[in-house]
Amino acid sequence: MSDTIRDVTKKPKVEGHWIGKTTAGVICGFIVALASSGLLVRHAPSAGIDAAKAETAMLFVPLVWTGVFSVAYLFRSGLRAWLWLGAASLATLALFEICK
Amino acid sequence: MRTDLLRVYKTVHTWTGVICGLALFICFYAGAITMFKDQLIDWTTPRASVHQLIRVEDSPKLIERVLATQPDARKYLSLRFHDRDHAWLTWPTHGRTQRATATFDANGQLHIDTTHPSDVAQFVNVLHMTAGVPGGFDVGMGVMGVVSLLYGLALVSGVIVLLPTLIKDLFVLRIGKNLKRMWLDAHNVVGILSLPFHLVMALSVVGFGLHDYIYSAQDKLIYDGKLQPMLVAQNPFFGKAPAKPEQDATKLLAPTALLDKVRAQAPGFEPEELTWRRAGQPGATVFVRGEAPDYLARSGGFALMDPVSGEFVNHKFLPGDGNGDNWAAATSAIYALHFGSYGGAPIQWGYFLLGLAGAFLFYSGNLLWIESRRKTQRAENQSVAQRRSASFLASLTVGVALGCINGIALSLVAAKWLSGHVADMHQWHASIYYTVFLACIAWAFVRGAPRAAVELLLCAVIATAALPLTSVAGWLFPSTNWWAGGSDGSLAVDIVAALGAACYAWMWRATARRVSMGRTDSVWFDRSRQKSVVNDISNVRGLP
Repeated sequence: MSDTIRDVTKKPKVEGHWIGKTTAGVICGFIVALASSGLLVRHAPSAGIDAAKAETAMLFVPLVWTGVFSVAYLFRSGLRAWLWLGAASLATLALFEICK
Repeated sequence: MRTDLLRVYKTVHTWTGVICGLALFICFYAGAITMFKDQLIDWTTPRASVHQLIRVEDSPKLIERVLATQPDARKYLSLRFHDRDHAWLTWPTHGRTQRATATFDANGQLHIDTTHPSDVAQFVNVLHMTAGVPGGFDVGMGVMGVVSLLYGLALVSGVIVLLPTLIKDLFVLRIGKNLKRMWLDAHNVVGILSLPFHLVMALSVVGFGLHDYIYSAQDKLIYDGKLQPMLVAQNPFFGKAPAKPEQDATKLLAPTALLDKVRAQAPGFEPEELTWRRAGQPGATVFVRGEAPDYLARSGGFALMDPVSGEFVNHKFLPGDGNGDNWAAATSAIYALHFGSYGGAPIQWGYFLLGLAGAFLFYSGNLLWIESRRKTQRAENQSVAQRRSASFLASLTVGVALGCINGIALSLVAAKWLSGHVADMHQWHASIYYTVFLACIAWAFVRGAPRAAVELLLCAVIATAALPLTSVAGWLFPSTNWWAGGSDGSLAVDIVAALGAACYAWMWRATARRVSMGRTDSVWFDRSRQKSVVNDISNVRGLP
């Protein structure tokens, strides 16, 4: 009896859900990173766009990509990872489009 | 920290580590050696080349004669500086397998020597970039880009797993009965203390390896398809000089004048090589490469110039004020931090040691994977069969790590053994490396990890000691044509290789003791070398 009560009050466990979380991390992470690098190119103070700026923006992508990929496993399930990171992808893309 | 989260990240760390570990071992070991690429080139270059030096002041006349008579030199011609006043004028010929060097002989006539130079230093460098993945350079880089993404994940998850006990575990190395504990402590301390280095490597290589894919995605989203033409036009290595119809493309500016302009533009920068591309044609360029230890310069700093007017086509990657803007500086910093091309010798040695420590990190990670899956013997005389996966990974780890070490050492020493005997040195270096590498892996599977570890370590001692021994033989018996020394750099290679051989000898002894005296229920136990069954391992040091 006491076990059942504890189970109900316990926080839901974080499960593996490897395929769901990994795909969410890789794909949504790449989209968030891409849109963030777009924001960097558009809004960082500099006269125009040249090859050095483009290269910095390219090298900026792995930083965000790896970061998002790493947090994907914090979610309770693969579905939640997809929902949250998908929302984050749409939000950064929308922000990039608005700021165009 | 919640235990369920920790468990998830432990699994992430374990599997990303096992997938990437061996490829990264090769990259880090080869990369550590690549830190001394110039010294390796000294070691692999016959001493005769010192006689082919010319005075930089005399070079314009020689360049003119070479360009007039040598079609290959018109594509690509370089002046490599030995010191400020002396240089070699060389160019690749015969599909880049040979290198021609020009001098004036005593009668003032053009004299051309053609050699089959060893490019083993470059071979090791490419090995460090691609881990030797077959299918060509781009495939190898792409694979390492993906591997590095997982490696970044392994770093983050490894830190998360260690966080709850970080303070307790960090500076503790528990040497003693629990060998797994000792290896875990060593793995943790190396991982945490070199974390910034590893983060730089992981993040930069994702960019280096996958840049084509990232660029094309960015091109569609950000640049409306205008990125590729811009990158080609502004390429800091291969860009073309703007065409100037009024100037005579064949009237090249003297190297000393070019150097003066470079030194005026970047006072902290010391040029090492000038390379003319398409010399004599409109749009030709001269590429300046050099060193600037006081700056976070990309590859030591470089610039692209117009060889006729001496104007800079691109000086964004020269160090110092007035050259690159902040964006060029940001890019330069990432390259410099990856390649350790700043700060001179202390940084070179630091990166060398961090690279070797990185190789240890991946090796020890695999050992811990095996040890975590170990079934322990509970009763006397009960035989325990370890899982096949553990034996498999033990063999693979031993084969790949020692295959890489032996392959590189033998490929390096072949630069002296084969010099003057074979036509295509590049092909030989590659064949030797891959043959040794694959043979070591096969050996590890045939003999089993414990026996193979001992035998292949003995091979590593011999192969690594062969470097200084070959130099000593060349010094004692000049007729062997295995030159010795010639410069401080090549002597240093011999000394470091001798120290390396001594380290492998120590590991060989420790491993031999371990496999014969360790616990019988370990994948590292070799029954054929058994001296006594010691299941109390308090007096056994070395491998787990």
